[in-house]
Amino acid sequence: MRVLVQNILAILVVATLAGCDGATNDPGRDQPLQIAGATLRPGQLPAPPAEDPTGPLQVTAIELTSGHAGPGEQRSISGRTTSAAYAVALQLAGEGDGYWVQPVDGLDPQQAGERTWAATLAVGYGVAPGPKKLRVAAVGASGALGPSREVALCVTPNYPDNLNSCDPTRPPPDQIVQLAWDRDADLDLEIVRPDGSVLSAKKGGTAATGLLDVDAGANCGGDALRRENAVWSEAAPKGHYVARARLVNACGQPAVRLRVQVLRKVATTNGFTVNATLAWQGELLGSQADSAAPALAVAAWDVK
Amino acid sequence: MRMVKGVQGARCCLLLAGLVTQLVGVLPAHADHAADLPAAATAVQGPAWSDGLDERSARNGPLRLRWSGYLQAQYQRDQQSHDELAPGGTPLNQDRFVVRRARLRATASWELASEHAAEAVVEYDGNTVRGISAGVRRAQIGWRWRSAAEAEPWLAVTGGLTSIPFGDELRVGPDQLPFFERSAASLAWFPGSTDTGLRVHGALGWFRYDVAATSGVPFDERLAPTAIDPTAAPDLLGRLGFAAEPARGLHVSGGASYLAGTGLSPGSDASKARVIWKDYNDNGQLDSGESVALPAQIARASTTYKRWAVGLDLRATLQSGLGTTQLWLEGALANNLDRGQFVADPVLTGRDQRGVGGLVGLVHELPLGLFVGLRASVYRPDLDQLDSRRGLLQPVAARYDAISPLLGLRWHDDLRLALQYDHIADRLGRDAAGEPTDLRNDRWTLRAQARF
Repeated sequence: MRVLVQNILAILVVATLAGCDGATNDPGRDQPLQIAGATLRPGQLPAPPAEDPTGPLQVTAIELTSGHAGPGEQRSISGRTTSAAYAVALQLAGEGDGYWVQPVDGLDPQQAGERTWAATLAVGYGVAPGPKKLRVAAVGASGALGPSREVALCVTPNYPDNLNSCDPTRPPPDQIVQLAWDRDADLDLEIVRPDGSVLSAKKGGTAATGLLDVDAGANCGGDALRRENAVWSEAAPKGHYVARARLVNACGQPAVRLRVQVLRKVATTNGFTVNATLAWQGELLGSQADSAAPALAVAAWDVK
Repeated sequence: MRMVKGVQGARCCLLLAGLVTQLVGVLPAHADHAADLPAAATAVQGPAWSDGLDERSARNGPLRLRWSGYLQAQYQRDQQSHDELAPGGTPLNQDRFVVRRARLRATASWELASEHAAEAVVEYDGNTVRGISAGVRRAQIGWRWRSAAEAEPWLAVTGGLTSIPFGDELRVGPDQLPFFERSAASLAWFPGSTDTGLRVHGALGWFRYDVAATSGVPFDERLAPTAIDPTAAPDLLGRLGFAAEPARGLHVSGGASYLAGTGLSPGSDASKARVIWKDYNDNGQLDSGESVALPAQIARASTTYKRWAVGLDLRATLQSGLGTTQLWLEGALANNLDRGQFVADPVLTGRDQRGVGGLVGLVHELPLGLFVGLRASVYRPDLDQLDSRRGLLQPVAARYDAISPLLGLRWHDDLRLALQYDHIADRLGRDAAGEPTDLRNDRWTLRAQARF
């Protein structure tokens, strides 16, 4: 009997220890870089070597469809590796605590001795805007990493800034008013201009009188944007402005927290930047949803 | 959620290894005294007319109404748990308290004549496996012809939502299985242990027979009742077996099972004309050539396909002064039968999905109620699976195997407290090179069970 019990417990120990190995299936939604279908591994990719890399494991080409991406926006990336590679590892340099492993495909019929790879990446919601480096390395059969290569990827803010966050010499809009909220609901932003006219989804404007970029959450469409921006690309008329918010449809949410920011263009020594001059936060209850009711005035400011 | 998996893994090893070390320190003392203890009081029973629940209400009068039930409450921890939601909103957290089953059964029986009786059974379940769920789990009406001296009927006919006669593990009630859940193959092939249909079973001496025509939609007890038989053709299945006591204290039973049925590969609804946008250059703008018109499509017809399975099972129970020992052996081959895990659809894949599964289980219960067990189960869901490796299709050894040690205490036959660890070996993860490897998805479960 003792032998039986001891044997069972020995197997229990072995099974316990064995169970501590293996790969995780962490979806990695908190990572600054996310790649659909790839596997997240802990660690950092090494910085690229100072000289041209040599050896059997190399990334030979990287193609990014767009050099900039906003939070949550997807981009396609593809490239080639040497034939010895089993996968490529991708990471936003200096960001996060893991890298993504994406298996490579077959041999490239147009580039002898090279394999192709492709992935769909997205920048996480918490990444600060600005120029970044996307680091890519080839992975060998044992998981060994080859030398890294980098490609520029600029993270843009969640408002249209004319790519000022990527290049400070590019002038941002003169004024941006952003309404952002925390749940998938249908909210509308309205701006009462100094002349008393209203900028809304139904009453548009111009680059000088303001434009709304998108009607987010319309009809509870689940676009996950959760923000609308009113943008004055040219100089905003001087005077008193009022921002209003309307909860058109709570889309089943009990309440929605919202925030209004007013951002203004500021000149700097090497170009321009954008500064938040006003911020307001609040909450609307789901029971307050009414598409016909007057919008709630949430912020007021003066442009001088 | 941060990348602290390495630390968690080490902590997991230390915690579980420490737990096992403590058990090693405790159990041999009991084992040493086992020989001095009286013989095991718990009788190990095979599946009988009651199909799981052990009704024990008094029998009074020609109409007897009996109530019985059981409750299984557990705490579980799973290595693949995350404080996150899956697409669609299902929580990925698996470290939680669960009411696995709360069953209440009413059994009404009428003595029609000598050795003839009719019986109706209704059994309800509530659980919190995927949110609070409640519903009927068994609803059957039947007639039986049985000798007063025999536990098993010579002939019994049952209709309604009733047991599925395939193999051994599937026919044993969830409260009587020594291990917490059925093995992976059984759960994949039969997501639930009951199905609507007509069943004929009985015993003639050592011979056991149990055949049925069912809908072929096993009732998954973890889900709300949504399954409706999609095909007119019934599944025909059954088990022919034996039960004998070749020596004093030794009970042996076994059988051969078969299944022949029809599955449905669903078609699709008609669609309306629409326009889709593909942002090929990822600039967030609708450019020329990025919009595609999709014309309306008519509905696509559904297609039926054949499925089958054969299996063998053997169970031996030995009662001695050291307690009760049970050995379980079971194995089966199946074709297009997976309906729960790696769901088979040969119309979609263009080929049959051949699978094989089985288990070896050993459970020993000491006279004082302490029991230990170990089950090794294998499941190869698709013997012909191909996967792309560096651009080439290669055969892959898809598998879902498990080693499940069990340790517990039983008080009489009513209360049970047990700890089970499931080490699962599969190919569902990806290693550092992106190649398939074992996924960290082991789990342990502490379960308390009360029957009444």
